[in-house]
Amino acid sequence: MNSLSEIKPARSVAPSELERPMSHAHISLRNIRKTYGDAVAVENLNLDIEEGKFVAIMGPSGCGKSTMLRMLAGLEDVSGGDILREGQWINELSIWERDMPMVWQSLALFPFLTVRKNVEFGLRMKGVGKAERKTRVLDWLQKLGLEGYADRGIDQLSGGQRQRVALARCLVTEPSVLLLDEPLSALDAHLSVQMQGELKRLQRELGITFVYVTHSHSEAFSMADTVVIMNQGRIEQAGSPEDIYLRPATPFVARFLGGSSIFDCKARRLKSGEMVLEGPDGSFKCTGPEMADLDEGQQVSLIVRADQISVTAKAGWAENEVAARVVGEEFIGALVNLRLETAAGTAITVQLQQRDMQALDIEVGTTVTASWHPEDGHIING
Amino acid sequence: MTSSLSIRRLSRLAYGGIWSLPLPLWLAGFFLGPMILLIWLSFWDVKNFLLTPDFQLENWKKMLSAPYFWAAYLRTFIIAISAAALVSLIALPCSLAISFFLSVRARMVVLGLFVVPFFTSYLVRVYSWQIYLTENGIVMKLLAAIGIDSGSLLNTPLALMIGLVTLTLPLVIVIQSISMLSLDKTLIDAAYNLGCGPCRVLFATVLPAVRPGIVLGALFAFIFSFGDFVTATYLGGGKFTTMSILIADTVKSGQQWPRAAVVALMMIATLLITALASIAFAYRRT
Repeated sequence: MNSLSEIKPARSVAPSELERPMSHAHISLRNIRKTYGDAVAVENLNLDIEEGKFVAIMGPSGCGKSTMLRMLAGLEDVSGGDILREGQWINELSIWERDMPMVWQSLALFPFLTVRKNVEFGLRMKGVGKAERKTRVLDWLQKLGLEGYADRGIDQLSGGQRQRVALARCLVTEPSVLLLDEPLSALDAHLSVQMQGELKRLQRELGITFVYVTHSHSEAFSMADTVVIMNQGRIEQAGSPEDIYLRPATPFVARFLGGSSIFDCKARRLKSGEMVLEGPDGSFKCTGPEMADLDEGQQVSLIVRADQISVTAKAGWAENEVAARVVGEEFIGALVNLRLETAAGTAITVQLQQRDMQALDIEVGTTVTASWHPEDGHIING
Repeated sequence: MTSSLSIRRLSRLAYGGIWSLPLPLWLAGFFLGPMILLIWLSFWDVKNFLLTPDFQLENWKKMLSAPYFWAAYLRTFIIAISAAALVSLIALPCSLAISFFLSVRARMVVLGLFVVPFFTSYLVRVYSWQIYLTENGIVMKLLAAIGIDSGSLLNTPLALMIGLVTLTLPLVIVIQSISMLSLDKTLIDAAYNLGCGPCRVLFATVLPAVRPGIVLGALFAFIFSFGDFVTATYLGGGKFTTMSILIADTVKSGQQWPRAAVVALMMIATLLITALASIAFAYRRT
């Protein structure tokens, strides 16, 4: 429990903010740092979140995504940097003053209260009158299809119903931002997909900002306007789902999203003046706009998505070809994920239609040729 | 094939049976048997100081119509419920401190210290209170030194409470602390997150969440205090006739075992009803 003595007089603008232009973002994180003793959890984190956007923060376990959310909610102090909401410096606002309700991974519903009282809790804390509390709670219970469960206990609800109670409990106070910490991770796949649709619909209808932490690609990419990918306490890339899918900014992002093959290459200029990418797997052509910026000898990663690689049993005449051995295959409905490995040890992932796979007539251990068009390669520095 | 299957099933049944056997045996031998005996005894007769098996309602009529029985019953109930409330109130801040403010190490040490009183006999602890509370005792001397002459503290309601707190406080603190330690701390964060300040969080979240532990602790304090004989005898000086003292007196005066059985059965019924009511209250949702 925090003590009252920790509450300091609030300043509306941080000292460091005076020298900077005011931000128009709804929530801004500026140079946020968080350390636990010597361990750095979050480092130099900068993020602007626009009003009414659905932002998904994702990354592997321990990447700092939950820490970031907890700092936003005020559950953790920042070790450095500024948190701004609508230009107001909120670093030193206590948790109970922040008005950023959170849907917890464990849901954290109050087991000693009925559904109605759970939803009412935030309003009661804000000193909303009894009559208004009643109508607003009822309104939200109806919106989320819970009107028949108002007087039940939390332990008498299904997983999906509990999820809705947790949402209603936050949204009934009409916040301008909602924080969600892996809220769907406890649900089964079917229910999770259903809730994803509902969450997105709610966010659109309410027009409030959602900050959604998840480790699930499908959740982030199906709902978010902006996806932020974190790794080791830093933001690797922030952008639209399409942007991140088509143009991963770092090898980490490409590897984290999966479904891409990564070739380590060096840029080399041919006598003809044309630039090619040379690596242990051979020499590849690429026509992406990034090619123009490359210097001779520069180390790059060539990323090719699984659906852009084709496989033939014999070496053909394609411009970018590499011989590889089949090491595994996974059937996902009508699609097959084929895992290949080149002589140099590079892993290649190829996505094929089931019937194309049958036509190829290959098995684990067969050597095949993987190829792709020069315009389909994507180049990343490093 | 089938025989080996049935042998396996039989051996599994036997294994489960062996483990579950002690419980019904214990309950039958030490609870159900004595209970039936006690109920039967309450209908017996005493002739010339001799117990005679009989079936007559005289004992029940006699006891339940006696004003001294109901006086003792009410007195015992009030003493026990006061002790339960007092002990719970004293224990609450202690348990909160143990669960929320102490480090893990300090917590182990403190909880360990609360177990130490159980190493010595309760009788010994009550006897040592006599030294403090008696007419020329330490407390009297100290009070006299600052000009307060209060006479003996022995045989007062205060002495009774001191004895019962001595008996039940460590247990209640341990029960309350365990329930607070098992409280999901995310609930407190969730309350803060919904705008609940640090003063309000205690009454809006922490206490309701640990209510089962608080009620259970109070229930144990009530049960122990309701049936206590030692404090009522040695610190109350027999001045406050409680149900336990009534049983002892009834047995001593003319071998009235059947009437003592009536008192005992009334006590058991009271405790049973109190326990059920407390548990219903502990898990009630608001």
